[in-house]
Amino acid sequence: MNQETITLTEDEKDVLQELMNIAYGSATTVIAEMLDAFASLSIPKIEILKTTSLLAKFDDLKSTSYFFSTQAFMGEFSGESVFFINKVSANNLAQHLELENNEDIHDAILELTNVLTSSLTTRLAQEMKTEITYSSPNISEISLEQIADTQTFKNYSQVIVIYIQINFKDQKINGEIFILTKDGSIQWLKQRLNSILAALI
Amino acid sequence: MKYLITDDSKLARLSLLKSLQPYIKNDEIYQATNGLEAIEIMKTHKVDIIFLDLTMPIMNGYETLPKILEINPDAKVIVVSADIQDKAKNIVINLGAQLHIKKPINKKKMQEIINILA
Amino acid sequence: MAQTKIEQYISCIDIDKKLISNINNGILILDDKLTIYYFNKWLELHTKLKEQDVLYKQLDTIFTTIKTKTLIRKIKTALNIGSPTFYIADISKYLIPIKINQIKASNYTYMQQDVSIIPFDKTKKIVALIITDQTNISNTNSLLKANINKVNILNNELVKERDTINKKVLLIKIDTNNIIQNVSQAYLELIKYDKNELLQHDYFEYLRPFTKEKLLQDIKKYMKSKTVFKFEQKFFTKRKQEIWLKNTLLPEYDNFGNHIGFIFFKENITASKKLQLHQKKLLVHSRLVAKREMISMIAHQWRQPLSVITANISNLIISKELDTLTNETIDKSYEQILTTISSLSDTIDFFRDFFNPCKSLSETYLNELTNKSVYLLKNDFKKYNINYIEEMDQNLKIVTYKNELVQTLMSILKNSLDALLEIKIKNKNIILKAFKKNNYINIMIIDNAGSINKETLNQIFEPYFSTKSKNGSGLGLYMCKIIVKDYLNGHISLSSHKNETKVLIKLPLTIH
Repeated sequence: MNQETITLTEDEKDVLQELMNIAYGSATTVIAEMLDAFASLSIPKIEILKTTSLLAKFDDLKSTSYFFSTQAFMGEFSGESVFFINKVSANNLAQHLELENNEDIHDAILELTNVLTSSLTTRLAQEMKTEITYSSPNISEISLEQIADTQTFKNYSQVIVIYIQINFKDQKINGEIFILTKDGSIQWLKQRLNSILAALI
Repeated sequence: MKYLITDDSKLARLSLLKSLQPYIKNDEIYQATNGLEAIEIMKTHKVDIIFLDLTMPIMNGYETLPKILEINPDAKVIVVSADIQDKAKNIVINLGAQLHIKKPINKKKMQEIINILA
Repeated sequence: MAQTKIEQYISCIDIDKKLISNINNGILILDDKLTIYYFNKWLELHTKLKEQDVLYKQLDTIFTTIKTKTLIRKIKTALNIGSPTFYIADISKYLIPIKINQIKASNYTYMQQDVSIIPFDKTKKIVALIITDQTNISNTNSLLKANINKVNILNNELVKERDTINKKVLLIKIDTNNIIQNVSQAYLELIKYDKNELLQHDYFEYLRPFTKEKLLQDIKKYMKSKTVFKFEQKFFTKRKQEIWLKNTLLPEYDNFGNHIGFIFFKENITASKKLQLHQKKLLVHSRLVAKREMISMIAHQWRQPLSVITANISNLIISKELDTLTNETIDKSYEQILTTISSLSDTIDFFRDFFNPCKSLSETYLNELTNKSVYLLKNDFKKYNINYIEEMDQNLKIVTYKNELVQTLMSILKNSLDALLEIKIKNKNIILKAFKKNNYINIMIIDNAGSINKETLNQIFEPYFSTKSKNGSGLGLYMCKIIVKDYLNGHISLSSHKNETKVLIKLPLTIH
């Protein structure tokens, strides 16, 4: 594992933020179409965190019982997305989609995760002129306390965390998505962000 | 002509500026990073064309748009946003925006914008 | 040559199509109305349906368990986002119902499937479905889940136990460098310290201020030999309160048998220590009371001989007044006075050593001790017509603290005497029996002064309990019990029925 501390410059952060905005816009559009609902988006927050701090952040989300789903993406830009949705929102989602049983709710959450992850990262990849493939998403049944022990998170020492809140006001559905990029991808990402900026100046 | 580019992202401002470059000669171009800054500029300069982002800190585009038109009812506001949901589009058009353009701005899109404005 | 043949063969066939028809996955091509455009060999084999029979039909009319709305949504979403959507076996179980024919035990009747819906052509709204058999993984998963549950239950129990130990058991763990690694909550609460005041500190530095060097050396010695060591020690809380702890030192080993440190289990014995101290004080007090009683008994004893002396002197004085004093009278009186004085002196000699507690054990004939006990009471027995009978082997010997035993017996005999003086019956008896049984000597003192009620019997050995209206210190029998139990290593009990009260003292032949 790379123990060096990686930082993003203000410019790099700005470029990533704007690319995420663009990606996020198209992601919400897709979801809005899928759910037939109007979504409002928060400005994506971008941070570089140590895995331990990230887990502490997840711990904060523990207050309400959350469904927690993950999906990995691979390519030059690789990593994992983590999606949190609380029970109330999940039930509202189920109601909105007229779903009856638990399995269908889980399925819908996975679909939401999938749509968010792929539309966000595909768009991001397009802007960065690369391609990404996806593994299937899965709902994690392990409790948040045990996340720290899971292998997934041990693969990261530092993560770029892109944190976005999604709000479907009329349907009372909200969730949080974290896009985590692996240590190796961070260097690649920095290079690409800088070349995008350089092309404009 | 006086232009104002309002976006919290440097990247967004730079790329907009770059695509606008071929169309400007002796025109003045101002930049703002949020709605409040935009309004301050509007108060002192008679800006004709405003490019406006929607998601910004301090004051977002939805709040800024009516205030701009209050200062200069003849100003032409082009909303440039990643949010391309129909509902968002309808809101800004109703608020008095001339156009709603999907981010990111490129040469082709700018060409269209200039054509429509002309 | 063979290579050329293969080259020719490869160039002739449609590799993609051949692979797709032979691949170990189900492959379907559908539009967004669920019309089937392709149905591969794998699907034919597993569903026992031929492609030509399903082609251009609706998938949900052939497999009626499919939820039309969900599938259409997934297809549209895949086309919309330009990347796959999924069904996950873990959640959705299966899309195409395929019965499992395997004999191998399985949790499932139908094949568990992962399905990827891949956008094929956005404008024609066509997608490909790739179905993967996940039954084995699902089986493993459900087995794993069941075991995780078991592990979780066990883990919860362990956590609870650890919690209980932390809350209830006094313990300190140190590593091989004597650095404190863990302190139980219970111990912290007892000594009123904060965890951080002890953790990572040297245990001996903590002990030193209130521990004698000798004990420290002993602890270190046992630690060195990694053997169990039990000891009592006085500790202080942060507020300087004194506590007594019984310590057990245990070496600690990890799972591989490596020595990793020591555990000190502690037991709070402050309460019983305090009781012991209280008893010591009571004992001192009791001795004073016993002394006082003894002196009054001696005074009582002296009254008669003193009156003999007085009478003789008066007689001499009167005789002198009347001029009837003869040498004979003088001699006679002189002799009587001398004898009496020597008997007074004997009494004093007899009890001279008595007030000091015996420091050492000695072997004595038991009847010598009973004689001593009864010495001061004999006159009263005679005076009040009480028959005192001793029944014992004259050669019976005992190794014990003499004075303590004499005092005890005297106290019990005095009780019997007092009780008999309270009542009016014809034959008043006190019997002292002693005999050897196994390694014990049983001494019984029986009187017929009437029975004692149950309530009194229950309290009779309590300190400050007395039935006597005056002159009762209430310490007599309590003191007897403490002496017999704690000093003479024996037992004392009292029983009463009909008119008799019996005190039984059971003493070891030898105190070790």
